[in-house]
Amino acid sequence: MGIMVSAATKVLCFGAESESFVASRERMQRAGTDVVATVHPTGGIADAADLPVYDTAIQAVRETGANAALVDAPPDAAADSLMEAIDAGLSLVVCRTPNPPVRDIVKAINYLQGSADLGGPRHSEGRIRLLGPGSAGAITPGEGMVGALDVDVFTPGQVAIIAKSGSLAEATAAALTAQGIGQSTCAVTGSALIVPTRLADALGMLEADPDTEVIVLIGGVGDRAEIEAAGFIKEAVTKPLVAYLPGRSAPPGVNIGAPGDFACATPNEMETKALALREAGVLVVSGLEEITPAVAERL
Amino acid sequence: MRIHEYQAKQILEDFGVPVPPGKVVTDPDEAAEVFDSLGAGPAVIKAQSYGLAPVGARGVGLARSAEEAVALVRNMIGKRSGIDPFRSHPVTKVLIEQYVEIESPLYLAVIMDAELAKPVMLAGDRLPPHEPGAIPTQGVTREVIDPRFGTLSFQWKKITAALGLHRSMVAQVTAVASGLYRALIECECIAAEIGPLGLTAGRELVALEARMRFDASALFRHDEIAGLLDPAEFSETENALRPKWIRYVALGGRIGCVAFDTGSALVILDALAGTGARAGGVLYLTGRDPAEKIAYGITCLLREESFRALVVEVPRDPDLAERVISAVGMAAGEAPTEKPVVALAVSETARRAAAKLAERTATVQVVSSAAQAAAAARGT
Repeated sequence: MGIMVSAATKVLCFGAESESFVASRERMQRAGTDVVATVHPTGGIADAADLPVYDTAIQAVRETGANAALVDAPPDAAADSLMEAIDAGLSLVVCRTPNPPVRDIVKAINYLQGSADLGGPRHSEGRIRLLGPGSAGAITPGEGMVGALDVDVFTPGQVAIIAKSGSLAEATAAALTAQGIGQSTCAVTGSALIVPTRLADALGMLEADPDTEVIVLIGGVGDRAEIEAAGFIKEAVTKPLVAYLPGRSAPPGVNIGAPGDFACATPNEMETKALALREAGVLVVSGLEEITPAVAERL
Repeated sequence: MRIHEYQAKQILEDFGVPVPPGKVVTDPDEAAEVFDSLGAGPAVIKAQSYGLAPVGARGVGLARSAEEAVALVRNMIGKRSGIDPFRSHPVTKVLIEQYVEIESPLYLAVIMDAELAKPVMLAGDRLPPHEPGAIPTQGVTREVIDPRFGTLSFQWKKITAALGLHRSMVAQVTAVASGLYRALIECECIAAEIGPLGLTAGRELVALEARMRFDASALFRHDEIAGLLDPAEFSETENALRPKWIRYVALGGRIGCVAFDTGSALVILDALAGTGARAGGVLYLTGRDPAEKIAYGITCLLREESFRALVVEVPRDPDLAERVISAVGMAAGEAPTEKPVVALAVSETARRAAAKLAERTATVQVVSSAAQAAAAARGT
């Protein structure tokens, strides 16, 4: 069973009117996940073909048993959808919208924290996980997916991939699969300025996951997620790790990220991150193509 | 998104932060009149540039007469800011403002803290050491603001103490700090910084220098901020792409890159650096973009005179790969050029789509890894 998604995952969709929804729905279904319903966005319309459409998320949860959400709403509506999903107690909320305003995301994250602080029945275990913004989602190959990852490159196995970038996660999975190495899970945190589920959070879940033997971590420039991960690994991770940190040539002080992403390097950032991970016992490779052989040696 | 210092000061003044009187000029001949309008006494002359640092020693001067002001402005206009090699554009605007004698240079900023997902106020009794454009991590006291409650009265006392000021200054500090905080929230900034915040002999606080960075994702609801962007600070290619809402980051090298994801772009940049080449810029497209929009973006890069080749990511998704390939074909027709286009197709489907185009377009070459793409682009 994967760390975020299982065969029992049922997805409620926000932003089903988006052009990309058809493709992500089809991918989730091919991954084995039930896409059960959509929700009318506040002040918008939902046109989701044959899916049941509910006025509120809480109604949808009661009637369909949905336990996860995919939010692909327009940027100005994304945070409201995230908060509605949190209010409905959905345990995994993937924000695919790449560029919601930072102030809105701050509000949504603080709403989530506030819900946990208040100790309401749905939040008392602190079990709501928010991936993104700009996350391609999370997959447990052979069981299910919430998001829009390319399911065809994944195959069930023992290697977990956590990455800031969806396309690099897919490229890594494709290379592993081509060598007959399957994956236990893949989760994309996204590269936005503010990312609630960070690499270290995912590492904690993977350490506890009996199906994961080796962890691949794919970082990037722009925040301290890899440094935090290194600190966490030193303290609490016993499984072998292979890391790849693209961006050593990113010019400092310039945000070179895609829309909504924050990829603004600081001087010597990647060297510092690589050093921190190496000191935590992680093998840091220098190219995407070096990941698969390194993983194969550690399995 | 950055703005000029004079614009940041205008915004902060609207939020009740005291700033020195001043005016921006674009022509040296205007300088004398502005100097005289500021009253007796010297004026600070500051070249305005998006360059990361305050434009450096030669970008700031002190004028004691109208003639000196004119000479300084003349010397600045048209000069390249030169601090940030990727954003070196000729200076077109110069700020002339009243010189304010201060006793201490203090520091006050408010940022959206990425790890806490909360605004954090930074206060210091002197200017903290930090890289230009970066947020100081040492020499400042951090005061976290919970967005659920907003700023709380006792926090202004803490900020006053962190600035090294007597409690009798709380009202003044509250006016400045709450103005700065409201500007951050209401204008949707990522960071707003006053450094130095001057303390005069008369115990007045005044923002001597100000910088603000805005959340580009929120500009759709802030026309007043979007309108502050200065096209003179951008290249022709950047200015051609912005109205179409296509993100493009100019980087100063000779090879243009087209990518769909930050991670892919970083891999291409590293691969180029590995061959000794440097990326000239990264153009970002999204899976939702129609072929015409993709073609427009690629056409702009093909027309960029400083580029000698393009590397275009052809994504894994079959529909999108077809769209990209068709767009490359359209762009090659739109901007007839001998400039090679290296199609980086990592999946079999993408490679097949790209190969069809390469068969009929001599300038298109298909590769399957970033290293090959870099070598092919570099080899040209």
